[in-house]
Order: sequence, then C-alpha cells, then structure tokens
Amino acid sequence: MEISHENISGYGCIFKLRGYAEIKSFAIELIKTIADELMRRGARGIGHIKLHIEGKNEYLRADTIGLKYGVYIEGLISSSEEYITTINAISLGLRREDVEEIVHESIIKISKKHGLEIINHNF
Amino acid sequence: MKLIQIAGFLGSGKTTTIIAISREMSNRGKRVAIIVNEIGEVPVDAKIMSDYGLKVMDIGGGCICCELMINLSYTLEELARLYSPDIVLIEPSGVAIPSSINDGLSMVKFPIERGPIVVLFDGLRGEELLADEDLSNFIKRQMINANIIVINKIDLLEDEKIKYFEKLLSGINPNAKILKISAKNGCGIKELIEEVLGG
Repeated sequence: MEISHENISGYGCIFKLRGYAEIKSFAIELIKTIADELMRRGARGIGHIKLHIEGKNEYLRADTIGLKYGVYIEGLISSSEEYITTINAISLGLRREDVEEIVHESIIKISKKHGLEIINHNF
Repeated sequence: MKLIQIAGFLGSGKTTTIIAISREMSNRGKRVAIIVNEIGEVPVDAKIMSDYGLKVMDIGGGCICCELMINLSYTLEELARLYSPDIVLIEPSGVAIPSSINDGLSMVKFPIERGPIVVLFDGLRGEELLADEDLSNFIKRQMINANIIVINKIDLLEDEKIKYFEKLLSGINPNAKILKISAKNGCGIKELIEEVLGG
C-alpha cells in the first residue's frame, strides 16, 4: 500500500461538555478508546490522535502516536464545569468515514461513562 | 519575511518543535508567525500553539502541498499585510512532501526569503516506521529534499541509537545537515535556530 494522502484518513471535531469529572482521566480514556477501536477495525497504524480541552482559563492537551508509546498529557483542568474539546484523529489504512464513526462513538461512550453531558457539537 | 518549513511525518514532533523555536526566537526579538496545515477539519495544533500566545493561522480541509497551495499563498499575503513577521514557520501536514510546498511558494507575488527546509525524524518511532516498506519509502521521500534533518525525541534515546540514526539519515540524504533535539525539553533547540536563521 503506497502511502499517500489517499490512504491516510483524518477526522476532527469540536464539542462542548458539561459536568464535573476528573478531566485528565477522561482525556486518557477517550484517546485510548479511539486508538484501540481504530486498530480493532483494521487500521494499519495510528498517525496521531490529538485532544485539546479548554475550561475556564485552563487547558489540557493529550496525544498519542500509538498506545505502545503511551499517552502524553500536559496542562490541568480542575475548576471548570464546561469544556470546549477539540479532537483530531489520523489513521493509516481506514476510510475517513470509519475514523469519523469511531471518534463519534468513543466521544459519546466515554463522556457518558465520566458523567459528562455533550451540550454542543459540530457532528 | 523569511519562510521556514518544519516538516516531518505524523507524530514526529512538529508542533512541539515549532512552539519551542517560536518562543526562543521571540525572546531574541523576532516577530514570529506560524502557518499550520492539518489533516482533518479542526485546528487542534493551532489551539495548542495559541495557548502559548503564539500568532497562528491555520489552513485546514486538505494538504497545502497540493490542493491548498493557493490558500498558503493568500495566507502568507495576509500575514505580511497584517502582522509583518520577520519569520514565518510553516507546519505542513504530516503527509506533505516538503519539496512540493517549496515549489509552490513561487506563487507568492511579493518578495520572500526562503529559509531552509527542515524535516523532523521521529527518534522514538523511527525504526518502526522504517521497518514498514511503504512508510519507509514515504519518509525517505520527505527526507530527500531536506536542507536540515532533525532527529527529535533524543531524550528518549540511547547515544548508540542516535549515532545509528545519524548514519542512516546521512545515507538517505548526504547533503542535509543532521541535527538532534528534544523539542520537549529544549535540548538542541538553540543550535537548530542558529542553523535556520543563518541558512
């Protein structure tokens, strides 16, 4: 499979969450869930998955280039109730529609698990 | 206005490197602006850079090495008009071919100084990527026209591995200067800046 723009698929979206939760744990679990699911559905590899969460005067970012390398986390969110969340996931070998579906499903599942309500989104 | 591309495959550390370079250049009194091109519709990298107070413009929805080249040209003109930067750092997507971007800069209608093409090599994931024939060919395509190849993430590597990569990359592009950095902890950043400003 020649690597080209055609077989590297990326999908990104923005959504707003509300609730009190341990945001660092949420971020790590969301990234891990997306990464696991991309590979489970046949991705050849992870390009990267990047997440940016913005609270009230606070931010947190997390990213991975594949779970064997871990999830990098920077920043702190400890006193916000609403979060603007931006995520971008890039994989090798899956269709864009598959990446989009996996990202949406993971956001819905993991937000609910952490008691966070999705109050706005662009998907 | 000097343009410097900081290219490299997905996850090689382009954003972290650009943040480190920008902050150091700003400390030296340079007006720095950044153009970011990401695969995917939302500008995560631009948000990350903005958290550091950096001047960022993002071009999304495709790759600037091909279908969005005209957007890059317009964005450069806007930056020149609104901000008059001394330095513009261009972060192409991780699947861009740096030489295509450089060729496309001929569309820019005002005088620019073309700085070196910098291509990052992911020291942590590099071997895994090069072990895959298709990925290896792609990464070599990115490396082949670099003026400077930068081994990133050296804080996670043994000295022997760094030497191995230096030799390997030198074989791929014997004309490139090989540098090594840790964008995360700042090691080697000053040397990289000296090289890109002096080149």
